[in-house]
Amino acid sequence: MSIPQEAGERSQMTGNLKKLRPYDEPPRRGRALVPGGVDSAAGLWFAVAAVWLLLAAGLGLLWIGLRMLPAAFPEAMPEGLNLAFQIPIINWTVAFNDETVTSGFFAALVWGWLTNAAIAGIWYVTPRLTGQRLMTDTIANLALGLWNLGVLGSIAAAYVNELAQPGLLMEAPWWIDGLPLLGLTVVNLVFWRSVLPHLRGAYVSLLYMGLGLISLLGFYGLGALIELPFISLDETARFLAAAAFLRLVIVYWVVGAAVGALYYVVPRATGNPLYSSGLALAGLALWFVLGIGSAIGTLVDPTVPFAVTSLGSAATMMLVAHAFIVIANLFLTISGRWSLVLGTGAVGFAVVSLAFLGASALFDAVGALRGVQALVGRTGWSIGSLLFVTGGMATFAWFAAAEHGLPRILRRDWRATPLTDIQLWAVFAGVTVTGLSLMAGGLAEGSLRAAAADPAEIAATLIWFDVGAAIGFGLVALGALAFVLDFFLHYTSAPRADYALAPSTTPPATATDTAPATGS
Amino acid sequence: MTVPTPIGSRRSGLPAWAVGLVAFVLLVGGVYAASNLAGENPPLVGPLPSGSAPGGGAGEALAIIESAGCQGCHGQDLSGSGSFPSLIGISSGPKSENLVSLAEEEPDNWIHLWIAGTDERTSDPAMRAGMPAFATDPYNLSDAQIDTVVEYLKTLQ
Repeated sequence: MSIPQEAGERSQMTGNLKKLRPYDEPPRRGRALVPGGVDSAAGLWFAVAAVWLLLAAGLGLLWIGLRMLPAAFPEAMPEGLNLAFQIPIINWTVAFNDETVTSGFFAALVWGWLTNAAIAGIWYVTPRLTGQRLMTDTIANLALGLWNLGVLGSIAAAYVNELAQPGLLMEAPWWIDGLPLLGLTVVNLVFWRSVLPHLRGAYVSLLYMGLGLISLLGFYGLGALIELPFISLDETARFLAAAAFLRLVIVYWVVGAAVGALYYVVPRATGNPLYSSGLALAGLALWFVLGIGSAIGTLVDPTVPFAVTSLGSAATMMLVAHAFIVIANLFLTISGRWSLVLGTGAVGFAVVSLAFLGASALFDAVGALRGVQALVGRTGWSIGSLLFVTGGMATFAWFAAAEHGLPRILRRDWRATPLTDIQLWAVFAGVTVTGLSLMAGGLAEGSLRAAAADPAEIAATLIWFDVGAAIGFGLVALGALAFVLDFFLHYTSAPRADYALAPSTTPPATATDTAPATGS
Repeated sequence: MTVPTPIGSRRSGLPAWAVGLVAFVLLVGGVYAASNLAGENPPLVGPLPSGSAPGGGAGEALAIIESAGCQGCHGQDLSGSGSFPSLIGISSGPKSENLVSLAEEEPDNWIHLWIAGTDERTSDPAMRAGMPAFATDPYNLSDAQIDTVVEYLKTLQ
């Protein structure tokens, strides 16, 4: 029960804020337009990556749906869905068909989800391994805008006949490519400026990520260069360049950055030191040298000497050694903490990523055999194999990095929830089913074509594999949704927590000062 | 302030089993490369597959054969009709005398050259005896399309 007099006195003491004297008001704190706080770059890039994952999953569902249309409706849509309309005034034709949706899907998956997640992981790992804050989080966040606007432009260009260039992941014309190229240049600048003083004796993660970043900048730049108007390449040369570009991006950027993340997350999450730094560096050297050879193996054309292509195929097979080195090194690192593998924490995600790494390396090696190439060339096999690397190995590596890093970036009490279980199992099952369905469908298609089967028979057989792939994509979309929801709910409703520094995994002689600072 | 929290390792050297594994894989790759030095790459006919449009190689080839009207002369099943030779079994050599010397000169490419009809050795109307030059008007088949047809014809036995 309130006492009016006391209430009146109280109200006079709290007062009307508008009547307070100026020096009683707290100073207005200006908010920067572009965030520049510690770990803001890592957090923002991860958040954008999560959105791209959802978009990529949706485009993937659309893509697989379009694949099934000709077989499902052979009379109404024998060539599949083929919509086109003209944009008035500029008279550009926007085409919506199997080819353009494929381009959009892979751009969203690789340039959108994987690249944003990889750069987020780099921003997270770099300060913790070098002991130095990023050169500037603000500029890193500016690069976020440049890169993602460019990727949106690239995806849009893939749908416009007058703009689209041939080749997966290379659809954007040179003037659209300029924007993401500028973003990549800024990212490289910030990274190398932060890392160069500490390059001597740098941990293997930084080496993988650094080489991946600089390679991506180089390849992306070259890819934009060959689209300049005064560079005239014939159709075959352009397709060869596109095939090599795709392989280089996958090996050096997608796989490289993801392996770098695994080398960071597994020791941190288990609390164990890495099994062998020498083994890690040997794997790095193998990967770096064989990657170029692997790209040469994609140059399958009469204009390229057969021996050269064969050496390239051999390099692809030898990359199995790199995969085995990474898997063995990290499994031996986990040794003694196997209980973590069974849960849905960072280690669980990392182990799934390693499984996909091994599987995709083996599939690539088998796919490099001449006989297999002749059978499954230009079928769904190559897309299934690509999905094992991108949707499997790399995606789970970034899930592991997110599971480990996001609680520390956002300073939230992060616990495994049913959404985490759905994320892991749905995406794992989805990618496995999709990849295997497409690869099996490729084998079936190749076999039927070799037997000169009737086109209707081929279509009737393939639709069942596409149905399997569609189910897989549905599971992946479910898992992606679970990831985004989990991220959102933890950010908005999890209690705040500050994480202690990781126990040093170095021998006591090199122990560092443990003043309270950003957690690792 | 950011404090470095380095990740150590239990050992810095290379385990013997890893050296053995890498050596084995490199050996396998080297043997494969050494046994695949002679040959010719098939043509690259387009970007990575983006769909399972009905057809693939054989289907596409049949569609081209149908639209070009090959069956009008060579028979519905391409086994020949009247003076027009059969196309079955041409992987082992031409069925017509006038193509024997071409096949000897270009063992891997004679079918393509003959169908295209633009090479000086195959463009003579007298030699072609009414067979159209499919790389020219009105057919304008591309190299890729002709290669697709050639690959299909080679499978006919």
